[in-house]
Amino acid sequence: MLNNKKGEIGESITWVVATVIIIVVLTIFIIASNILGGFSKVSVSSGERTLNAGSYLDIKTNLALRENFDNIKTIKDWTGITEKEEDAYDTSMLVGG
Amino acid sequence: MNKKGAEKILSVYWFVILIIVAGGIYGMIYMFYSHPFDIREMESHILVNNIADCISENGKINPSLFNDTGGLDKSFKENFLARCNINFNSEPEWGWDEEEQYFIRVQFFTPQNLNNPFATISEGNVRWKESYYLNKEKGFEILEKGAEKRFYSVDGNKQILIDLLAVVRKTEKNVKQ
Repeated sequence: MLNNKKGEIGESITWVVATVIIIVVLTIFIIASNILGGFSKVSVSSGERTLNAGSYLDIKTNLALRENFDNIKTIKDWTGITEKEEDAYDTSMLVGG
Repeated sequence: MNKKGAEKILSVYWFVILIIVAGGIYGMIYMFYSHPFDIREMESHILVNNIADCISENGKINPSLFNDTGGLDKSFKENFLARCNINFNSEPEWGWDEEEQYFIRVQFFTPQNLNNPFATISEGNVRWKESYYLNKEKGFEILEKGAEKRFYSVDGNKQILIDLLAVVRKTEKNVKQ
């Protein structure tokens, strides 16, 4: 009779522990999902900005420079366009250059 | 009889576990997707590009933007949004239809004077401008986001440097409250 009771208690504890483990694991996954969801960001990057390859507006600047390239250093500094040595602006390619 | 009772309790227990697991999976998905994508920065970049297209095409300033004296054309300035095919209408949620959620500013400079613009156009809710600069400085997610870009264009022989700023609020829809 006593052995039977012990067995029943043991079995109940097994089920209770199993339930607790399931709840704990689910809670951990819910918290992890919340944290991972927070990383969902959309970033905008135009990458390296040069006269030959840059953002949409850099292309506009490039086209305007083909019309008039006076003050080119001021324009590049102001617009934030960098110039790599191998991409050095070739004024002979400009209209009328 | 005892065995049958135990089986009944066990089947109820399995149903409870099933509900807990299903609830857990629902919770995970809900938590993951309840974080909205913050697209305000991208939206302001698109706005800036559209304004740039309206102001300058193929490197040349829109001929109807400036008048003969070199100042901004009054009609173009007053109807800037309509002329550029832009509208600031927003969804009616959160009272957005009562308060404009956008701000744009266009400043025109000459290479000889980069400190003072010779012409400026601004539209929308000017309040968002201050919040945008504060956000840029301190990096608060909840504040307005925007884009500031510069480019160069020509108007005949005149060189014009253009500074564009677009700010989008719409915090409620882009940031988890």
